[in-house]
Amino acid sequence: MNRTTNHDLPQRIKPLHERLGEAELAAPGAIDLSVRFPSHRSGSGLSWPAPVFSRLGLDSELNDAQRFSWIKARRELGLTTVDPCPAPHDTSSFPEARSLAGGLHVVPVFVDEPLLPEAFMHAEQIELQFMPCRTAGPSNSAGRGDRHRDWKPILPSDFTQVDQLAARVELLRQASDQPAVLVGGAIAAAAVYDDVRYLVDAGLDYVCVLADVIYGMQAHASHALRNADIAIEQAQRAIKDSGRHDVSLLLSTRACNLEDTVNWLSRGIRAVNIDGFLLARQPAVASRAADSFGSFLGDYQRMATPEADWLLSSLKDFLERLASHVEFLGFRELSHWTSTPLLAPELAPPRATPAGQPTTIPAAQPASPPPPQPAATAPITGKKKPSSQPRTG
Amino acid sequence: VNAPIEIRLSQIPAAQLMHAIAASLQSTSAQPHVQPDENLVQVNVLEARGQHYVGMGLVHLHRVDIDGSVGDYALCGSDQCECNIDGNAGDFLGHSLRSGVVIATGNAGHAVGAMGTGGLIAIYGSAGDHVGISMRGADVLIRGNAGSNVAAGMRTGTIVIGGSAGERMGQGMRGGTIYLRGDAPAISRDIEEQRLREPDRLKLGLLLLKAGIKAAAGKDFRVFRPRVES
Repeated sequence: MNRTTNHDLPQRIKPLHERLGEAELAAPGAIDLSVRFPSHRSGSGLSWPAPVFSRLGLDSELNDAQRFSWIKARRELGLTTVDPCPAPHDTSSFPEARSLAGGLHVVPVFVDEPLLPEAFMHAEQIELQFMPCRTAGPSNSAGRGDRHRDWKPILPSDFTQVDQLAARVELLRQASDQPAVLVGGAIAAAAVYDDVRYLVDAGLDYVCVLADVIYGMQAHASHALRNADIAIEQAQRAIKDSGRHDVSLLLSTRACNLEDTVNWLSRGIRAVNIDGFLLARQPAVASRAADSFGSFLGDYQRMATPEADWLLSSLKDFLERLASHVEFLGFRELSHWTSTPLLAPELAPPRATPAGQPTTIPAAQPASPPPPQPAATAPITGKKKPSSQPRTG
Repeated sequence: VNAPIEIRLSQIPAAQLMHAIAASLQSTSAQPHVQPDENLVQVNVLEARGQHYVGMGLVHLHRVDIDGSVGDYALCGSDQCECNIDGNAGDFLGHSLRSGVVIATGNAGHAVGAMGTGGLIAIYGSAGDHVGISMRGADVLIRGNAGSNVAAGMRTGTIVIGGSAGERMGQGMRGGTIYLRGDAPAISRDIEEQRLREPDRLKLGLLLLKAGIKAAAGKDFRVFRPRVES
C-alpha cells in the first residue's frame, strides 16, 4: 500500500510567507469538512457534512444502544449512514427534518430483491447494492458475510439484457419527490474496471467500491475482497474512460486510522467508509459469565456489552483530527484540499500492471506513460465488454 | 367510497402519482391530516400516453382507473389497490407487486409480474417474453398468448395462459405452477406436466373469477410444475 506519509506532505504545505496574517483572519476550528456530490440528471447535487460514511447498519447487526448511538452520530456529527431500516420516530431520516449539519440517510436497495417504493419515495440518496441480500431468506441469515460468495457482484435476476439497468436507475431517481436525488451503487471489488464502467454508463451518480467489508461488528474480522490501491486505480480509470466527470467514487476499506483516510481522500476518493476505524475503538470489557448467569457457566469469560458512547467519541475524535490535518495543510475547506493534487508525480501511487502486480516507480525518474486507453466515451451496450481494455488482476 | 379524484398525467411526473394523490387528498379533504389509507379512495388517471413508471408505489387505494396506455414499470410495487388499465402496458408491468389486482385490457410487454410477491395481474390481450420472471408469490393471468421464457426463475406463484406459450417455458423455475391452455413448442427440462386435479380446477376458477373473466376452468388446461428429482 502506498501511503501519504508525513515525510511527503511538506511539499504541499503553504510556505511561511503566505501565512502572514492568517492567524488573525481565520477562526480556529472552523474547518469545513463538507464534500459535494454532483447529480447526473438534476445538475445540482447533495452535500455531505463530512467525507465519511458508515455501513454498520447494513452489514452488521447493531443492538439498540449501538443503533441509537449510530443515529445520533448522523444527527450531530454529520456521519452519513447506509441504513435499511431507520428507527421508529427517527425524524432525522426524513429530508425535511434533517439539519444541514446532519448526515444523510442513504436508502439501500438490493438489486435482486423486490422493490419497496415507500422506502425510497422521499429519499435524497439511494444506493443500489449489487450483491446478494444477506438478511433475506433462511439460508442467508443475517450477519453472515465471511465468504466471498456472499459479496459476489450480481445483477437483478429479472434482467434479460444488461442495458436494462439504466431504466431501473431512472425509476429510482424519479420515484423520490426530492429536488435532488443521488442514485449510486455499491459493488464488491472484483472486476473493478468493467463493473464500474458498466455502472457509470448506466447513469449512476456515484460508485462505492467495497475493497474490504466489515461484518459482525468485528474490525479484526473484516473480509478483504481486493487490494484497495488496485481497486482505486481501476475504478478511476473506468470513470475517466467513460467520459463522465461528475461521477464520485467512494471507498470501503478496513482503514483504521487517519493516515489511510487522508491517503484515499487525497487520491480523489469523495468519501471513505469509517466502520473499520470505529470498530477498532470498540472497547472490549471481559467479565465473568457467572456474574449474570449463575454458577452453571462456571468461570467462562464472556464479552460484556459495552456502552455505545465509544461510537460517538471515536467519530468525534476522528473528525477533529481530520480537520486538524486539513488545517495543517493550509486549507480551510476539505473540498479545496481534495481538489488540489497532493502527491507529486514521482510520488503517485503505483500503477497496476495487467497481471495485477504493482510496479514501483523510482522517485528520480519521470512517471511512466499512461497505459493504453480504450476508445474514450464509448458506452458499454449489450453484453459486449470493451475488448481493448485488459482485465487486470 | 369518496368522490373520485381526477389526475392528469400530463401535469405531473408519472412516477409521482402517489404523491399527487396524497396531495390532492390533503387539499380537498375537510381533515387535512387524513391519510390515504384511511379513505376509500377512487382515482381516475387521465391522459395516459405511454409514460413510464406510472403509479409506482400506489398503496391502500380502493380503485385506480387509468385511461390510456402506460409504459414500462407501470404500477411497480403497488399494494392493496385495484388498478385497471384501459389500454396497453409496457415492460415490467406490476414489477414487485405485493397485493391487489392489476388488470390491463390490452396487451403487455415483456416481464409481466417480475419479482411480484403477491396479488394478481391479468392481461386480457397477449404478453411478451419472460412472463413472471423471478416471481415470488404473485399470480399472473394472460388471456391470450405469451412469449418465450415464461416463468423463468420463478420461485412461487401461479401463471395462467389462456393461449399458447413460446419456447423455453419454465426454464430455471424453482417453484409455483403454470396452467397452459394452448400449446408450447418446447418446454424446459426443469418442469414436467402433471395431471389436472380438483384443487387445480378450484384455483383456476378463483383466479378467472378474480380477473373478471367468464370461462369454465375445464379439462382443457394443462398443469406444469418444477421437475421433482428422484
